[in-house]
Amino acid sequence: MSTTHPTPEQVRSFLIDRYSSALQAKVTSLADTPDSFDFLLEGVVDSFGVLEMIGEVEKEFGLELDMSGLPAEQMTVLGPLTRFVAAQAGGQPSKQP
Amino acid sequence: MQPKIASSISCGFLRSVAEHAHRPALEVAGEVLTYEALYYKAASIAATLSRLGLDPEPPLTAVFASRSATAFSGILGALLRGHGYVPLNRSFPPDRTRTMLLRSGCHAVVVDAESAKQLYLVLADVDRPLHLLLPDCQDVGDLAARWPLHRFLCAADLATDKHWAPVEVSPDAIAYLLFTSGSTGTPKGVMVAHRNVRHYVEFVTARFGIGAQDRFSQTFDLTFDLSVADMFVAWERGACVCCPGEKTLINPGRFINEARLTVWFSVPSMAVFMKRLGSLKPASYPNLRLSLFCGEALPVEVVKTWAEAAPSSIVENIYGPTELTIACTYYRWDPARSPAESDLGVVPIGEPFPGMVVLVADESLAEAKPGEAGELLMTGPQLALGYWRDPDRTAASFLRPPGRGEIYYRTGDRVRRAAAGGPLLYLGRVDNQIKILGHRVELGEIEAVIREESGIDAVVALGWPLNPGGAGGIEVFLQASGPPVADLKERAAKRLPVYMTPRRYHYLPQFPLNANGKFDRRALLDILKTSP
Repeated sequence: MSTTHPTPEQVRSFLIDRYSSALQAKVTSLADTPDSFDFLLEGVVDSFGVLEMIGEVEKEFGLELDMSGLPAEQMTVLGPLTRFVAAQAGGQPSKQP
Repeated sequence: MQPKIASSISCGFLRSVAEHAHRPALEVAGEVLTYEALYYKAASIAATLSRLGLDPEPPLTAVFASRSATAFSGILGALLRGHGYVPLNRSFPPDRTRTMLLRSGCHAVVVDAESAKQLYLVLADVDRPLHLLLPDCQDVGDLAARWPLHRFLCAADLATDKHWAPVEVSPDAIAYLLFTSGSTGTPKGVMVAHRNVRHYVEFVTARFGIGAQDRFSQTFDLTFDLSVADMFVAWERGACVCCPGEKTLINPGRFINEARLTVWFSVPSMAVFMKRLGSLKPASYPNLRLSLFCGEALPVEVVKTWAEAAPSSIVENIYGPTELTIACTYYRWDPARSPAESDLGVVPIGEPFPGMVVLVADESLAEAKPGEAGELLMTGPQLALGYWRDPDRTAASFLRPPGRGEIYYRTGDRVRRAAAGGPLLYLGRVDNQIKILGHRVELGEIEAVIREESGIDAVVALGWPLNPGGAGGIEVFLQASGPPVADLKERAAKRLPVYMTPRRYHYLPQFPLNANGKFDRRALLDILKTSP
């Protein structure tokens, strides 16, 4: 588990790594996964998987996310999601021991 | 225009067209349709269906559409024509949709723009002629050339009638035919009559004082019978149905306020998701005056949080299988009384609707002793007609218990009522059916599909992770080794809806057996509990 406030790039790297096996079938190069990539619409996660995905981000970065500030339509889109998580993390005390 | 068909489920809509022509009936996909506008669209579809000269049997029209104006006008159009409707869902695998379409025997299908993209897959191997109405399409593209067997009608081919004399239907006629998961591997069609739905609609509209100012959520897909409640209760009294996009439903908090909803209806899982995502803060939804939950067990902790988030709202847990028409018992949450009345952390299912009769039965289907748990059987005006073209399964589930004069439906749900009285408590299932996001899932159907696709006989499907409402997903165990998991996943996804598709597969050299020599499901669950 990482314990510092993540940047959007770190959240992005984590998500791409975590879902790499499913993503490989959808994009030509993992590193070039576009910001507009939608994990739900592309079938990488289903509606249960959305909660799991948020849970894994929380676990990885030691966060408790309040997703009510992010419109549902953007919640599974790579760019908006990573920026939102990073912004939320910036407003939370670090869980560093 | 006054309704001439008081027995049809569309009669309330027609009355509202007369009384509230210019009020909104439907908000969907960024469009607001008044009662008059929605009626015109439906009348056009009804008139077109009539002119096609279709074989009158069966009197059913399929609607392959969701979350679009055509989805709702297609349903109303079928009903105004005097047909029952058969909802099809593009989120299901095309093979499953084709099976439902063919088993229903429908001669005509109303298709919206998004669903039309799947016709190439759904129509493959269909060897009897169909009429496909495509109100959203300006031309039929290459569909007609590719499938000369079928007739395709685009927007310009539809009747332009603005008025249509609704066809009279018997109260016993099928209002909708809805396919649910079947334990033998194929979905079964539940036939629900107009009079069944009228009973629900009349009771609920009066009970909650529904009026033209109300604005209803429409969270359910049309293949889920709870969607019938949103439409026909709202339209009974000139209210508006507000249908969000599919993605909005991941976290619909903003939608509740932006759409100014007054009535919320969803499966409890949706409230669980919202709570988890931080969208159930106190007083978040001040405009809600009524919140209904149905489809799976309602956890006490969820309803408490919801009641605080919607402080002006009545909150009720309603219960009912498709075979008893939408819902047939109700329980109102009372923060002072209800925690003590709840059991196992789950809110009671309460009391039967007026006219509905409850039998809590032991294994011989005789009435269980007071206070003892038993299987819930029910009868009354919401008892559906049975399963479509399936007398054997109908006879097995719709039966006359010993000493009783009426036919009852065996729900397969275990319930209990305290000996001293009190609300009915839901305890779980007597069989291998589980609920996932409120959807009924027969584990036997999944096992049958995986057996066929893997060539392995020993297959066990389990709901996992378990939660108070049912399960979060499906995991499958296979005895011995078989095809690569990726292949199996791909094949299963072609036959099962997403919510039924196994998320993980486990190959075991040997299954644990219980004392009766059967596969020990409990021991397999223990494996899941300890696996990462």
